[in-house]
Amino acid sequence: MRANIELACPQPIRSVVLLSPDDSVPTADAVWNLGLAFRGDTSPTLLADSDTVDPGLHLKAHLDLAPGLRQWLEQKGQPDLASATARDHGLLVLAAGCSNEDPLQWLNTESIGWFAPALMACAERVIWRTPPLDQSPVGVLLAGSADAVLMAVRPGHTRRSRVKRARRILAQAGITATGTVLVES
Amino acid sequence: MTWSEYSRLLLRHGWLMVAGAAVCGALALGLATVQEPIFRARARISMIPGVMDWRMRDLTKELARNAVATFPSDKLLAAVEQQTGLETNADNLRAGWDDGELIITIEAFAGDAATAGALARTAATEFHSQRTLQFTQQDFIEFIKFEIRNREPELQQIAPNVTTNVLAGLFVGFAAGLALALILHGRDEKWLLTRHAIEKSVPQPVLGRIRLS
Repeated sequence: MRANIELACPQPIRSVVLLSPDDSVPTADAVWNLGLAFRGDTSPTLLADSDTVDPGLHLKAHLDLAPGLRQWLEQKGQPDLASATARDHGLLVLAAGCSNEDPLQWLNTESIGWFAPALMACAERVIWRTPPLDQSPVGVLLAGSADAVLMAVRPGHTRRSRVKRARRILAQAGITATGTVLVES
Repeated sequence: MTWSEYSRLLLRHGWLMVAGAAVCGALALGLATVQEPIFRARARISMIPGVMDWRMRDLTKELARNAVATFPSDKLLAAVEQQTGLETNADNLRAGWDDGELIITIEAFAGDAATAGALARTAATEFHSQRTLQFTQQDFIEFIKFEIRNREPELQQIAPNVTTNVLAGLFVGFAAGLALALILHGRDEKWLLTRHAIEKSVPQPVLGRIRLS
């Protein structure tokens, strides 16, 4: 899969955004496993959780919910990832930092403009977990600056109508997904 | 749906139509073997006007239609029961009129050929004698040639019709299989259960699979 994604992308992949059409895809597990697939021997892969409504990546890494993305965005400083490391699996994890909050309060085009490069300076590759596209536009914001945009589909759980709706949302933002990944049990 | 989608549907779910047709065909065949047989005996009575003009022809037709409409009368049923010793009712006997050939057809239905034949024969004879008497009283008999055409009724087993039953079973099974295939195809498409359905919904290629731990 990693080779397929790299081949489908014209440029070297530094940032990947995993989008889901709705909440039928368990994106925390998917991003975690995607991170394992992209895990390098030398440089770390950072998994960042931008779903502040339903955060879940920190649970996979056995980390606290905060501090996380929200705190660092508020501070507008260089992220300190020392406390956000899932060393057992060789992955860095940036938790969402809060739950049940509207991420658009502090996550916008401007903040992504400085925060995304700052994160990429900390790791060879950043994989973003985003809220479902039918619930929040954060995924679209992040996809705009990502090297690879993956649409996660869970056969048997994701409805075609939701996928089409997600396609329309991306098309309206002028974003073309790099490819689709199937999330299966 | 495009032709390629129809062919894909056939390849994926075509077995349902074959299986449905086979199962329903076999059921119909089994049903035919246990179904009670029904025999039909048919006697014909011609009713031709003595003089072939339009007035007589219309009069003959009118008389024949009237006779058929009131068939079988209680009197006829009682006479048939008395002569054959068989219990009979209006459902076992039927009459029809052929306007073209000027023939009254009397049909009798029974579970065996001999009974049906006896009923038809007796009913035809009784009908003929009763109507002859009536036409005589009404002074019509000299203008109408009224006679039984076949003394021995034509016998035919009308049920169970194995060929019709099996063909109907095959058709119903095939249609049910087709309906089920379309429902399953709709489910596949709606819930993206096949790779083709996924690729049709998202223009980008499927790059891989992530297994949930």
